[in-house]
Amino acid sequence: MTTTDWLGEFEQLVLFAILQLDDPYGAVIRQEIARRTGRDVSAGAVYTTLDRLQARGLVSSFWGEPTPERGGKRKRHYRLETAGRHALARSWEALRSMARGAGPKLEEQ
Amino acid sequence: MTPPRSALWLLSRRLDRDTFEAISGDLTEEFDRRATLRPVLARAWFWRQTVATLLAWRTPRPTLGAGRAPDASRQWLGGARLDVRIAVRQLWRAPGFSLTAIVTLGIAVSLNTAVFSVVRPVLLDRLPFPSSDQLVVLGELQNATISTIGYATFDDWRARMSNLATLAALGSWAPALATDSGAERLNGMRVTHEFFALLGIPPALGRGFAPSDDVYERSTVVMISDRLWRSQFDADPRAIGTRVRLDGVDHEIVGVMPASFEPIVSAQFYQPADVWTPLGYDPSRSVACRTCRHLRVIGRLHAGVTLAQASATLETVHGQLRQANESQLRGSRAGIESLQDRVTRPVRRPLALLQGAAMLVLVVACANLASLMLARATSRRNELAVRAALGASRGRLVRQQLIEALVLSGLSAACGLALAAVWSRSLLALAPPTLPRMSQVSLDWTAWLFSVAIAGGSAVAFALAPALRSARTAAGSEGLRTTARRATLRLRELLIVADLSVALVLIVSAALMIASLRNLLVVSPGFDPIGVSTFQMSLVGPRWAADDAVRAFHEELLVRISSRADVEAAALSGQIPLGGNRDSWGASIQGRLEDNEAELERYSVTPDYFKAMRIPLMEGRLIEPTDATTSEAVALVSQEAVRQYWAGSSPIGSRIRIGPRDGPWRTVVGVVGDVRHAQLDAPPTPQMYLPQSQLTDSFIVLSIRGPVAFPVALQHVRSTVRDLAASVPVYSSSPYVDLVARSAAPRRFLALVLVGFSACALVLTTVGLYGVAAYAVARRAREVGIRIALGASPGSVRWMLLRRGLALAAVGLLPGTGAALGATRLLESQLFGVAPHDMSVLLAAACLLLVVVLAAHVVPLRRAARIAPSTALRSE
Repeated sequence: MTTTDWLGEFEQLVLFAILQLDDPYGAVIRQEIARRTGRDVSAGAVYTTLDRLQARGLVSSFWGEPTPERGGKRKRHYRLETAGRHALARSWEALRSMARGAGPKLEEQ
Repeated sequence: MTPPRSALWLLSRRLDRDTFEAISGDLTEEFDRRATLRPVLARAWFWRQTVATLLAWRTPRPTLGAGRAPDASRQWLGGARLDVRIAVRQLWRAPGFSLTAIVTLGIAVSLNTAVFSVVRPVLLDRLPFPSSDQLVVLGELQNATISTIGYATFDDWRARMSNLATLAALGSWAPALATDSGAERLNGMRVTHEFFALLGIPPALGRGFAPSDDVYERSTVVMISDRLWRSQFDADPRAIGTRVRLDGVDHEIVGVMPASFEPIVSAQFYQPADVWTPLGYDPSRSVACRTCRHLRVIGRLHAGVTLAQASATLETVHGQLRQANESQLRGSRAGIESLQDRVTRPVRRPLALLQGAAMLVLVVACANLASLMLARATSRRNELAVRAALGASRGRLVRQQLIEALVLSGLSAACGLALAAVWSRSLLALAPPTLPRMSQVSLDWTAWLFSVAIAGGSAVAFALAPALRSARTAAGSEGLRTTARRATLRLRELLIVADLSVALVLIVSAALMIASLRNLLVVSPGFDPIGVSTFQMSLVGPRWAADDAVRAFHEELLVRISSRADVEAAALSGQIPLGGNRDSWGASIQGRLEDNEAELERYSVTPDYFKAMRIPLMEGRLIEPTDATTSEAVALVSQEAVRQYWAGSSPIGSRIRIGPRDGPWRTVVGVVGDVRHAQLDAPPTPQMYLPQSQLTDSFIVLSIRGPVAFPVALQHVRSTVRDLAASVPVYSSSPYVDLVARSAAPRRFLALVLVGFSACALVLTTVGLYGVAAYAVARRAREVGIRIALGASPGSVRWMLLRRGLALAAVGLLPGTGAALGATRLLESQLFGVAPHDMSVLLAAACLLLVVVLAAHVVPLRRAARIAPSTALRSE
């Protein structure tokens, strides 16, 4: 396992969103992150991350049909690949094991 | 509703095609949803997203090729942003230093900006007329100044110079306007019909004057100012065509001038005017004579005509006139100059002095700033060395400090502008009435630019130099430290010497002005203004055509005014000293000067005038009630007149004649003391007094002496005049002491401002001195500690340290004295009764500075004496 297999924090958020959304694409991923974490990120930030994840084979994408509410632009749908699912699971597991027992101490501060 | 197109365009430029499609689709979709709720917020959101996306997106658009390198500039900008953040943090971490630097520079910037705001409209701006550089003032020369001329001469000039310029003549006019509550006296002008067209300002309403208006007996039309239109006619456009009663004659209003029309051109320049009427002269009228010199002439040169050409032609034309009218124009010479020069010349020197003084404060501030930065650079040596060692290039270090200086100057400029608003208002409040165009003073964008420029310039020049020096030696070794600190101290001491000498210049200037002001206020004007109230009135119009009617009014008025127990004396005169009026006449003295060569200030007075004014009788008798219209014509003369025209021998019994050759000879029956008429600082001119009954004035001044309070007196005079003749306006009412104060106003202005400036310079110098003294003590802490450990008394330690400060002061005073002697020479024209190189003033200023040097040393010296040997040895 090389260090590049580890996920950054924002990458994790994006992958979690793709995992749980019915039809994940840029706008809903952005909104899901904003809704759950309160972080209002830019579309650009989401897409740079998606590009990176796709380049690493963690997600894949395909084009949908153009729609009028999108100003005649096509929608780009995303899908979580098996490698992505594993990477996310491993990152989450690492986070959970590191976080075990940390709760009370965090609240102390 | 569609998303902002320019935002979409920006995205399309930056993103590759696929990403653009996905992102813009996403954003458009969400924008639609948001826009149905809050359209404005949705647009803002879209823009925020666009900018954030552009910043986040780092892949250059491939289609634009590799030729573009956005990364370099981005990196630079990003670096600069970082530098600004670092700079702000650095300044925040050293609040003492930052605050001192910002306030120091801020004060200097504020003074300069405030003075600039006053100087700009007067000295820098063009006059508010189209092609104002073509406007000129012409006239016959009197004491080398362009003065007024008679109508006949004007008429000839106008005709013979028409191929070069359009000319207009103007005279003063102060009509009484009948109002519901009596009468109001207006400031106005009589102008030839060319006047407004020549200035290039059309009326806001109605029409201007036509040649057909400018004819005798038909000139009963007026144009009025925006102010009068609003105050008397409620800004009603129907005012055009209505009639107003001025001086008892109906005048038709034909036009209203715009509010922006400034009263720059008037008989005296910068006298406000509310009403204009055509001059309506023709050469056949007696007032239009060649020697009736009461008209001001302005002109507009035709395009392409230079002042030199116009001047040459005027000289030729006037030369021909002089030959043709030898008796009236003997020795007369004509002159021409630009209107701009004419109106700004009298105030150019004082204003330039103020700007110069403000610049000197800036010099002090800059010296302090440089000194502060030097100290800071020395103390930051370690930080810079570390950064250099970590790989920061020299350019990078310099840029960091440059940005710090710019942040500092930005804050100083902001501080300066805020303060400047306060100063500017104070300057306006203090400004003497002689300063023109004060209505145009404002802290506009030019003032902003000015303050930002001087703050930026000073900060970069005086903050960066030390920074550069430190960057050069940043990587220097530890061993250099002591030497560097000594060099720093030397430099700072040098800067303090500069501070001290500049402060001395300012203090000496301020002290000289105060001395002048004091000298001026103790000058005896020749009469006693304390306890006297003055009121002016005019009796003009058909009702007052006969002198008898005027005299009857005078007599009845005096009887009623004097009826109050708290009025000791009441008198009427055609003019009063320091009252702003001039009525000087050519006179012949029988057997001595037979051809009107004598010139005397004429006062026609009622008998109680000398009692009211307390002007002393020197010889002979005063004017008595028995000097009636029909009795022998008599006159009094002043001592100066006796000195000049009777060579000191007694004039009693000799006879003088004023005005036309067929006028009566008047017998001199007394000599009275001199009064200062035009200005407190001008020596008395020859004067004469006639009985009001023998030469009656329609413009009169009522002077009342007595314990009666001014407001009560004013009320009394107003109601009395209203009862006697409701159409007579009472104006320019004022306690006499105010008139005297007004005569000193320009000097008081200059004195107060200079005092303020030198106080600022003094405070800044003290701060600078304190900084250097503290620094010197810190640097010598070890030495002091050792000395104390070896048994030196605190007193001797203090003396050792103070000696240095005193030496600095002595060194600073030497060039300071030289500079002060040079600078005060520029002030000479503004001084009164004190020489620019007055030694006592110089000495006092030097003593003041010495006190400041001592004061600045108090705290550092006390600290030095308390240095414990152990701490001193540990330090460093």
